[in-house]
Amino acid sequence: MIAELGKHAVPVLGAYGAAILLIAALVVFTWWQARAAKNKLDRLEIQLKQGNSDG
Amino acid sequence: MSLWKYANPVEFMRLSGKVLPVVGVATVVCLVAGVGWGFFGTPDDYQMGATARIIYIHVPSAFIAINAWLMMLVASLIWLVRRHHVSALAAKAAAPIGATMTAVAILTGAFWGQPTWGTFWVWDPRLTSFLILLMFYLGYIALCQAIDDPDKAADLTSVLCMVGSVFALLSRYAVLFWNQGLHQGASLSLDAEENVADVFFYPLVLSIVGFVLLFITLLLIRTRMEIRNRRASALLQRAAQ
Repeated sequence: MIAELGKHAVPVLGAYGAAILLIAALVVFTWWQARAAKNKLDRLEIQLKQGNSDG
Repeated sequence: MSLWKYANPVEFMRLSGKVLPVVGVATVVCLVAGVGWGFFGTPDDYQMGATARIIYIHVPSAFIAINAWLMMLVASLIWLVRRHHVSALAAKAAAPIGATMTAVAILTGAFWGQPTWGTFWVWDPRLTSFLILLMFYLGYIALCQAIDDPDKAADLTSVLCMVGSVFALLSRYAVLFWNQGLHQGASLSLDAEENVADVFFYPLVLSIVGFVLLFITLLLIRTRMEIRNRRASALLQRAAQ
């Protein structure tokens, strides 16, 4: 495939590489943030429930 | 049935939880099919050679960069007029996605420009309007982070969003009316004669559909995250009282 791209292999693969890197970073960052928010809320709700039942 | 019932966070969480897996799978299918078809299954352009393959990521990312800001504008106006919190949170959730897509469009455009124009960057009106749009995205995110009161932050970012819409629209239409720069005309048009050839057109449309679905998937995930963060803050405040 790289041979088929010929003299344009660097710009084409560079563009795809940069795009994939940025989009993958966004997806991973979003997934990590979403997971952290869910865990935080779950923990908080359990703590508050326990606090209420303890009186 | 009113559309506004989905402005209720509980209703939004219920519906988005059902929709997310379907949209997520459709995103992967369309992205792999569209970008894969474009990269492996299309011929070289007679003028640009193999660099024409960059359109399958450059055009969709530029499309999302502009339209994400316009979506934020609509959500901001709904917040300002009707004070629905989900719309303010959706606008906030869209900003990092739009900023990333703007950066992707600028970077892939630079890789395209080097062999085509002989330079990575030129202060062409079309390129410059995109750089300003990226600055607006970064400013929007910084403003969100800088203000503790979420309602006040939503008010101020909504105003910023309205101002930035000038540049989002400029980036969109500069391709059509600004002819003195290096950037070529639009690759897609409602006028079929102005479109790229069919062999490039169909994979490009599929790639755009994939990017739109990716935007929707990430937007739903991020809006759900913002709603959870808001709920956690409210619970902490209630517990402190």
